[in-house]
Amino acid sequence: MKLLLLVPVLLLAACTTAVPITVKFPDAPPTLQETCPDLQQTADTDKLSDVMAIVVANYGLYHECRLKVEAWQDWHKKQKEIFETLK
Amino acid sequence: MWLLNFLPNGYLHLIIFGLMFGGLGLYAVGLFINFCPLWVKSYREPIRILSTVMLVAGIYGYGMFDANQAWREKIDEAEKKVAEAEKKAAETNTQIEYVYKDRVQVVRDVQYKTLTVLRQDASKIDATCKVDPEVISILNTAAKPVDTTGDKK
Repeated sequence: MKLLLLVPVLLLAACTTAVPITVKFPDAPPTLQETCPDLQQTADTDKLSDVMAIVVANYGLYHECRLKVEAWQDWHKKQKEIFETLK
Repeated sequence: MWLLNFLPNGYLHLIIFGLMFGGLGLYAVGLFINFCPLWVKSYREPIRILSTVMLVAGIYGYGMFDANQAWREKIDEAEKKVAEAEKKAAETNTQIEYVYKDRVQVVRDVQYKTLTVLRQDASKIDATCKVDPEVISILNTAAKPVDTTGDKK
């Protein structure tokens, strides 16, 4: 008779069945995860061309960082679209 | 019922149909047992009870198996969708990285060309303009990373 008590326990155990599906959050490309570098500092000089060279280099850094932000925005938009298809 | 998930579908089918048809067979035996000798007749009630229990268990099992199958199909479908989405996400990552690297290369090419022109005209530029040391200090202050981690009070 005591063993019969096990039957409802086993039957009710079905209520705890979890759906075994997990969606893995996608990793962003490693190049996008690198932080933007600091701007370059100008060495002491009286030559305008040297100053301009640093300014041009810094403009380049800005443009690269801008591209990175755009890539992140694109990544988020596309990954969201993919995630929406799972609903 | 979750224990049944560990049994292969073939065995489950066999057990369920065994219970159903076994119950039906026993029930028929219970009906015709009246024509048997007296000592066999005494088993009529236990046979009827057993057949009813088997039949009910078989029908219940059949319904449960069907519902379970429907859930399994839904889970399979969802798993397929997730796998497809993960594959698509990986492909998107590769594509975004490729486009990003390509665009960075374009920026570097433009920068290289600009610096080449600057080097070519350096003597002309330096001849007409001398930079005051204050300009360097101002420029470096502007380019210095700003500490944004402190409290805003």
